[in-house]
Amino acid sequence: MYYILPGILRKPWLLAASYFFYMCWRPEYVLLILFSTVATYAAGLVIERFPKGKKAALAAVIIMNLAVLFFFKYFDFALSNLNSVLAKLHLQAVSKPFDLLLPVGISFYTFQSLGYSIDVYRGNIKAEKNFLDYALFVSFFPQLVAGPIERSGSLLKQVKESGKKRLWNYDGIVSGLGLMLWGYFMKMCIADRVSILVDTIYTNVHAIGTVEALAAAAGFSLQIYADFAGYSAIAIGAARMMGFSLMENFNAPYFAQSISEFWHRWHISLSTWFRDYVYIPLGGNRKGRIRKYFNLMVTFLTSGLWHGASWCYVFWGGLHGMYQVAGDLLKPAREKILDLFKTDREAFSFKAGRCIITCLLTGFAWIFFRAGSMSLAFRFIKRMFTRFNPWVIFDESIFGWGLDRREMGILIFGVLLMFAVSVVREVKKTDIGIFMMKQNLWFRWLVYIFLITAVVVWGEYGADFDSAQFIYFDF
Amino acid sequence: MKKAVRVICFITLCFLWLSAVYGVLRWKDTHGDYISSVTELKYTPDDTVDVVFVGSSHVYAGIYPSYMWSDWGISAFNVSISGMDRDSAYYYMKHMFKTQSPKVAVVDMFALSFDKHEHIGNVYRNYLSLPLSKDTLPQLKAYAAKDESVSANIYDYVVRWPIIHTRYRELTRYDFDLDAPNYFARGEYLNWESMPTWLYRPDEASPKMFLSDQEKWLDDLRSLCAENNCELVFMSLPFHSYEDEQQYIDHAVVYADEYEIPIFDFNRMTDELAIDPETDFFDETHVNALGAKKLSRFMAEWLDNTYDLPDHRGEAGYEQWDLDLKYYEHRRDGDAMAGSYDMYEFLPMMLRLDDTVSILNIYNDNEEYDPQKYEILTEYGLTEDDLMRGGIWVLKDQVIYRAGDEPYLEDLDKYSTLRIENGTIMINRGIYSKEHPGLSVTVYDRFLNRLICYKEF
Repeated sequence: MYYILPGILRKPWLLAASYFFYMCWRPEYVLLILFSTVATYAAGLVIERFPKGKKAALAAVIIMNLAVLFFFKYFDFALSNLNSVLAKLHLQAVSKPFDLLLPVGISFYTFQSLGYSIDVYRGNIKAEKNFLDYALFVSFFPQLVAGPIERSGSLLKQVKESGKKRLWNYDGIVSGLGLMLWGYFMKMCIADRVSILVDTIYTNVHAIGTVEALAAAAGFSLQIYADFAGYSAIAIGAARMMGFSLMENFNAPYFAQSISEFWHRWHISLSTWFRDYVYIPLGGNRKGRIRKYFNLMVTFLTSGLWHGASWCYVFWGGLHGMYQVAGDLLKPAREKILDLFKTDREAFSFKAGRCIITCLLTGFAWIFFRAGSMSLAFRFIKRMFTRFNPWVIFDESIFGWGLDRREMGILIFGVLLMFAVSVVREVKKTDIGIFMMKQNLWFRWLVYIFLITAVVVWGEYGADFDSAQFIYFDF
Repeated sequence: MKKAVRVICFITLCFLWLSAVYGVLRWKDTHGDYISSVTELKYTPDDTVDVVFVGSSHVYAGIYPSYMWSDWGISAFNVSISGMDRDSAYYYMKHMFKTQSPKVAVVDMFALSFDKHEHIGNVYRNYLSLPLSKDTLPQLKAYAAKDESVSANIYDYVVRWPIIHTRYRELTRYDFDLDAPNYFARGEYLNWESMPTWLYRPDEASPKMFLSDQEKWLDDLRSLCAENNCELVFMSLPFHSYEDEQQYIDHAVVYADEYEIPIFDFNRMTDELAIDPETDFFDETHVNALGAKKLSRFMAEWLDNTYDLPDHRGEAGYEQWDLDLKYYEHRRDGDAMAGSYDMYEFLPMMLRLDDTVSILNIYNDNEEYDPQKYEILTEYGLTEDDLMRGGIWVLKDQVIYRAGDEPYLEDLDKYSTLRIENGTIMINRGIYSKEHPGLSVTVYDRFLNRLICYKEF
């Protein structure tokens, strides 16, 4: 439809499609996205037109948007914490006045529209006059529910131009489809498969030992990457097919050699959002070491809270902050030790070692992200370090945790493929969709046909499976 | 110099690592519950064993040192292994004398009846269990003279890696973490099963002359015991023997008489000891716990009367014999509980056994449920209201308490955890909840590290 419509109707069509997409979940929650859109649209105009009142206008729009976000996402969390305090003071608990369902994508579109308001306030962009264009920027369906969190300077500009430019772009469509196909493979063949193992282990933490805990920790590291990067690939591919270029969200994050580099490669649209709109405004690293550490901790704790209304997410964010602070503090000692042992920093083994350590640190932090409660996370960690049981690998009882030998084989194959694609990403500096476009026809077709077959045959869907939704839809 | 240090460090690291890997892969008695009398001996304090029994599976099935300990305080120990051959018996005794100074060594004569092993498993048992020492090669050479399969690969048995390296395919928990009895058991194999057998008991003795090195073996045993100031006794435990096997034992009797060595041929003493082939065996050739009790008590009484052995009960350094007795009692009671279907017999046994956690589950969601049937539980602390309402209770250290609405988690031992949540009872991933009206009892023995039984009444 998008391709056959005349240019003037494409944007209204996309907007209608985006709103329809959002309303498919819960029609009444469309009011929330509409509210956020109208508020930030109006604020942009006010900020631009009334320079003296722009600070107040920005503050107002931020408070309004965050209030909505708080109400729907954090109210229950705040109430349960309040009741915990009241219980300690032997006071009566406040009963829950209503049940709220977290609106899909609220954290994403709220941050995207707030980013726009701040950009207008800073004078980085002009306020958008065309409401329909702006509404489409906020609600663009491929990235509406789980990002990438786009910047107004990029997506809004593309929205404005989308009605004018030549639409048909064979390479864009094919590479977009290729990227989407890869995204489906990551989600359906890897993420959903490994989630069976991870879920079984996490629901039986009382019965696990070191090996199962390590398997679940490594499994979740893979799951969340394959799940979220898979979603991002689908979103970017879908947008590319329609001529939109969304920002890169993942860049082989498990090849990072430090936690700080990890955040340059993981959920890039969110980490750069926090960098530009939280860390740098707080002073970044320009106000001394102590302040830098404080800013880092604030940024990562906030990032943790953004992910979910639970102390687990806050702790997860805090852990990443602490990793970076500790890494910075220990740098001189680390360098001394490396000098002492005459370590070649350019050697492959050294870099690989750093990658492995970074993976271990992020994998450990993911435990808190996945556990759902702090007590479960600590029980899990206790099992990891106190019930050493390597024999489960040899007697094959590890295959009794949801993935039998065959399913594990498919998973390992998928992970190796994902590793190979990451290597391509690292070496060629391009995504798999574009890389494939540059390959010979026979190879391209072979890969596409294989991926299609893998998704339809090995994909976790249909009668025998309880397909999981994308993890980041919960945020 | 720096390079030399580097090389030494590398070699040390390699050695430590390979030693650790060897510890995991080394030969273990996989068909013998991963329990080895050599390992048990290793953990026995020096010079604490007063009586040692040496021999094949007949010995570990027929002699329970726990019986000798419980009533006489005799510190007995079985150095025994499946199909122990003559060379093996000699070198196992030699190995034992390195750390122990027993007053009496009682050696099983079954080894007289065969020269070489029929199963490779028994070759491994006999020649890979002992730690490497200067005796390893002589022991192997002595046996290899009778067994070509060993003589062709004798150095594989010395180096061991060529044989054991493929064990990575069969590693289990006990390769990484020895089963607890290895640290305290005294060499017996406990078994309460029963299988009728038939015993060859000719009226007249018909000694058969030794054809091989049997006589030399008996001479060597005499010399070894004499060197170590140890009295030598021969015995042959009851088993389903063939004619020639019995004839060799008859000849051993002649030999023993010549050198004034006490000898007990239990195949010919079954009436005296009231050993019943119908009830006292767990297979054709091995007595069960009932048979072992008769044999062990007889031997204990005779040894005590003959050698005036000291009573070590309560003495420091002999705690392993106490643990061994406790192990025997737990196995015995666990076996009895597993075989009991009478609630009135079962529940007192359950209460008596220490170091256990019992979970009682009354499921009453049905009209068929009759609380009066379980009135006996009021003696254990449950109220009549409890019986009406049903629920889950945990009985531990003689104290019973109801598992409430909150999830209940308890580590039962190093590798097992009890979880009670939403009416579901789990031990690790096994579910032990009652699904039909009535009472179920799950008993976990923390001393044995195993679930003893799940019973429904």
